[in-house]
Amino acid sequence: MPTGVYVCHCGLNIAGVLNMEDLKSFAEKLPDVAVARDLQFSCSDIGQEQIQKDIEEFKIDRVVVAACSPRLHEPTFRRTISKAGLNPYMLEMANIREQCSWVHMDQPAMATEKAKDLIAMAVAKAALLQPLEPESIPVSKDVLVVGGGVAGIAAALDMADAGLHVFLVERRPTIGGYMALLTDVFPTNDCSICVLGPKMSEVYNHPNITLFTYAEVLGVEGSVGNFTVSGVRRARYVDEKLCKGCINECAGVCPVEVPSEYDFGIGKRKAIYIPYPQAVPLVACIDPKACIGCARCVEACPVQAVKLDQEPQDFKLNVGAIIVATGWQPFDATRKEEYGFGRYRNVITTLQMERMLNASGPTKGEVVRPSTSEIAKSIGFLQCVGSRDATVGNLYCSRVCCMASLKNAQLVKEKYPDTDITIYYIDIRACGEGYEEFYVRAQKLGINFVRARVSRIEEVEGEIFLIFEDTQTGELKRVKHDLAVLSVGLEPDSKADVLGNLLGLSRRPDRFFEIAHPKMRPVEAHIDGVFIAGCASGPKEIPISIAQGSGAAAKAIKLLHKGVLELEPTSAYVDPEKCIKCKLCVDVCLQKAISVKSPAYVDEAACKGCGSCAAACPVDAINMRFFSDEQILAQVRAATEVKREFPLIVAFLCNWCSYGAADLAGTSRIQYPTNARNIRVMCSARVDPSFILEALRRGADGVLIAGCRIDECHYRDGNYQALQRVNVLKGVLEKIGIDPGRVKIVWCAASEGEIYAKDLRDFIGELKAMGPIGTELKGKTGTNNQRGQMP
Amino acid sequence: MKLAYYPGCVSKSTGKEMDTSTRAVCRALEIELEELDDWNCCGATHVSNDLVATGLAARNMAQTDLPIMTACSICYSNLRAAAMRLEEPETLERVNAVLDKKYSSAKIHHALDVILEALAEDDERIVVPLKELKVAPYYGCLLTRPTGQYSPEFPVVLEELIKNLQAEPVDFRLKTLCCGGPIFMPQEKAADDIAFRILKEAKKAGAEVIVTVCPLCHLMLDAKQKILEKKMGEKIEIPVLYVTQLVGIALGLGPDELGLEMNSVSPMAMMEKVYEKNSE
Amino acid sequence: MTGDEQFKQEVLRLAGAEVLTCIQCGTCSASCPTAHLMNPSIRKLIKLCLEGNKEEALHNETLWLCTSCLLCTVRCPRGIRPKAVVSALKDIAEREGLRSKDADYEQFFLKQIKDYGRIAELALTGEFLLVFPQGAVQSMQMGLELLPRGKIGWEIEKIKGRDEVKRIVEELREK
Repeated sequence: MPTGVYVCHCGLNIAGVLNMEDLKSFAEKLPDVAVARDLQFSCSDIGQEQIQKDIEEFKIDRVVVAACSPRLHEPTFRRTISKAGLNPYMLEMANIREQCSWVHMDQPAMATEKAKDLIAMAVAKAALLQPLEPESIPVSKDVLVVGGGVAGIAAALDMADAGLHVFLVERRPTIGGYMALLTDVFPTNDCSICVLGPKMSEVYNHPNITLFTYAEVLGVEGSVGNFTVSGVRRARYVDEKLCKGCINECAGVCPVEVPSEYDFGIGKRKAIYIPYPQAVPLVACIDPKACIGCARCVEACPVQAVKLDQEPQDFKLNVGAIIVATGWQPFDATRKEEYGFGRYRNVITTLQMERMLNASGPTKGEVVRPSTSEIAKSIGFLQCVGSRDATVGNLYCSRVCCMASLKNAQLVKEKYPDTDITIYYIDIRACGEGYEEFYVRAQKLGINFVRARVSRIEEVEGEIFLIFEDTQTGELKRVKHDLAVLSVGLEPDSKADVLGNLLGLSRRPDRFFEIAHPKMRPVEAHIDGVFIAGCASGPKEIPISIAQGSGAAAKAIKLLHKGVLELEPTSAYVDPEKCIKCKLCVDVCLQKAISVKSPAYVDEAACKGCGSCAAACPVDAINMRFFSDEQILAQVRAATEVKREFPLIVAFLCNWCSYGAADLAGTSRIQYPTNARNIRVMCSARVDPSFILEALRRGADGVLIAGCRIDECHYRDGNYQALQRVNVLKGVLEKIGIDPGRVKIVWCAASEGEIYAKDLRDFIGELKAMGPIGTELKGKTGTNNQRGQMP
Repeated sequence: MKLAYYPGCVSKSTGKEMDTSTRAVCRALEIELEELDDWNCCGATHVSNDLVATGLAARNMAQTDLPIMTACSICYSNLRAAAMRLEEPETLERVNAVLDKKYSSAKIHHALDVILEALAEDDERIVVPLKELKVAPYYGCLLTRPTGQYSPEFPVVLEELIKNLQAEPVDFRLKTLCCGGPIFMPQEKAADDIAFRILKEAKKAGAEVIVTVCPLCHLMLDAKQKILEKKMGEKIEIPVLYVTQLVGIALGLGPDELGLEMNSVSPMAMMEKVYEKNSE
Repeated sequence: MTGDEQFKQEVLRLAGAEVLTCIQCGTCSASCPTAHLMNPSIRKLIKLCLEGNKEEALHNETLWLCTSCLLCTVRCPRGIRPKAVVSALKDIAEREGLRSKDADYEQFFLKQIKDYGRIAELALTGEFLLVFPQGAVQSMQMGLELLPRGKIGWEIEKIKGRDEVKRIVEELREK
């Protein structure tokens, strides 16, 4: 395995500090090195051509470039060797610029010694590199969208227009979600169904969309590119193809009347019903819980569409991607007992107000007191009901309720100018284009604003009173209103739990689905090929839900449009002989890429190569194709081969944040001592306790593990897993008499070069105080190990 | 059933009828009570330091392995709150460091839930059903707080018990308003105002009797009733029974057993009405 | 902020760090049965603590009007325990030897627990009336109600575990 080593001057960036001649001759003597050169600029055309020439001439089959950070030029040199006929993965870089010459400018001699170790470590790892071939898999160009609210509709239409085939699965008998039930919408007060209705019809008529309403997803298998989805279309007891949507014929004879969920209890519907006149599909549905089976509708239907013996129908789909647009549900206002919702008739919720204001709603647009059906002359809106409230476990702001109340107050005021309206608020949150102006408009219309969180509503002889402290005047007040509107917050739809569990989606503490990165990946789930849009990932208003639907669609199109998916060949793999089926790997895998049948199996399409499973496996049955156990151990051994200074630290840095922080320390020229020998891993969770023990056994005085800041891990909580492993290991070290302080785990963001340097300086100080490894054992064993190795 | 019984300090003085009737009712319902050994004051509402209050409660709870019952809402609230705080290992460690007998865990009951559990809806031991008696269920504050047991806003457990005794609970708007009792000594006026509001509201709601679950509420509404009437210049004249007294009447226990003669506002007229109804 | 930081931290230590998250919404004041008599209101009291305004936070009638009914704590949307803030302030006031009839009443109460393990209401009342003779009328009226009904406890009961109780009161109070 002849290896070529190229030590880069980078002008004076490296050569100005390190002794290039010394490094070159050091490299020449390393095992298997067929050629070693120092190059002025290895990334220049001349430099690259030299490497390519050597591949030809010396038949080297692997290359080590000691230069800048691999995060900068690894792709460059992979292309270089690839063009010369080598597998691109037969490259290893030693970072002697950002993590050496730039950070040890005043210690050229020690820096050169450190660089020798870094080169030796790279050569040792290079000897174990294997050619890797990226695999391509064919993918389905069909997409599943779950949830037919405005976000799901937006996603479905964009993808269908782009040529993907969409299966839209909606739990209710109609698509349209909550938006279809609203009256006018802020901040322009245009009619909600007038803008949404055409989109709903478009979905229904689109040749690339298959719509399953009154249906649910019950099973998901497979991974990105090839999900197998099973589900059921519940029986609506009406033939979808035959029904003409006339509804008066069947519902007219139906003897059963129940509160309509589409009017939130203030209106009624029959057991056979269409949710609302603009429903899509415009097909009747029988509520089996309400139906008494009298079959009058069967007789009344002019086209014989009612089928009381209809059975549920299973469906099975093969899709390349899944978009989760499961939306929200209103906070259950009966949980705020102090407001008396459900007990006091004149206490209603925002959604009931929306339905009352809706011209096609149960009161035909009149705003009445439910107790008397008289027009309400005085209305109080109570903000933050079920939001920003620790007592109900919802600390978050629901984001749309302030605007919804401002809007409803305006609509009422415009319709009934004499109505006395007060909005009781903690803070008015009107953050969006045209929103603050909308607030001003409400103020100018004469709507009252009182900064108070209503403490309770009491009912005395049929009248309701709001009890609160006006916090701007400090007055305690008890104010009568004809109608109190509870501005209920948004919660994640509890019916989405099934899908969430099937897909292995994670949830934030607020119980909404968590996106892959809180800023940079707003519509992606942690699972490849799964996207989240709309309120499923948190409360949001209509335009943002639509933007997210379109965003998720773009992501799915980007993923599937070629029909093939190229996989990074860096995944985990299982040695089936060794696997004991303990399932520890399944528990730690955040991508849900591992299943244990007999034995464990890694779905390479889903694996992101973090390596936590390999670290967790108690019998070393899992290894990584890239950053393998053997390669990392070889780096550890090379780093500890010659102990060039005290304390000697072996450091494991995660690729995303802490390695970036160490690079940033370099580009910022932050100076720190030379003691650390850094090993790059994809995630801090990759660090197998055996790596740490090997480092200490071979004489390292300390081991540093650096990960992303807690809650910022690029694999969600790999850093937390690393922390747990380190804590367990510390316990073990203590038992065998090694100071557990020799192993340290720290967190730094890629922007925190100074913090990385400080952590390292601190650790060096701590290790100096401890003395060389084994010092703590001397008293116990009476032996004095020459290299400070553990006995 | 056997329970440890924590009588609380007022059982020896202003709350004697609570203690007497609690013991009598439990006897009648075959609930064996074993008085907590050498129990101490729970601190009531006058120990400002959380940890001290927790320690005082923990010492009581450490005296037994049995579930503990108390008839006083203040004691009940304090024991429950302490048991919650003691779930934190740090608090547990600090408290146990000063205790002789160490606390590990405890289950706390109020006499109300013990009775409700023991007494079925059509229990044949209810020999004097309280037919048509209009009862104001007055919870006061601390039975339901800290939260976790009953709703702190609209509890219904007393209504349930009242109905089981075949009486009629009235819709009592102020049923969870604090009686003002904890500050009645140093802040007489403030406490009096609240107590009188509650009495007036009960009367307005048509109650013939008010039932309480806390000896301090009982003191404020019963022992102070005549004083308040004089002070406010308005008659109330509603007997106030401790919950165990009300249950005891329905179980056919005698006035002596229930300490009824210790009540300031005599319940005798109300009882006569109940007996009359039963003889019809 | 120029307030007394040490005082603020002491309140937070006793009443919980969540006090920092107060949004001044007024739920506590509007839930309080004695709020109409309070100045500052319980909401403002919390603000005073956060400003480190020790003087105003400790010297007011609000602390002593709290009935400990916990409704503020039940309802606070931030999970703050306003009653615990009141308790913390009382605790600080007591430790600093602040005197008032209300503070004295609490002192007598705690002293009885420390000395006897239990409360003897008669003795407690007697001691209180020495510092607040104005309470005599009420006490007399109450006495006349309770005496004929045998509801005055004449004896001071002392428990066996007095040393233990004393330890609880003294050692758990100082951190």
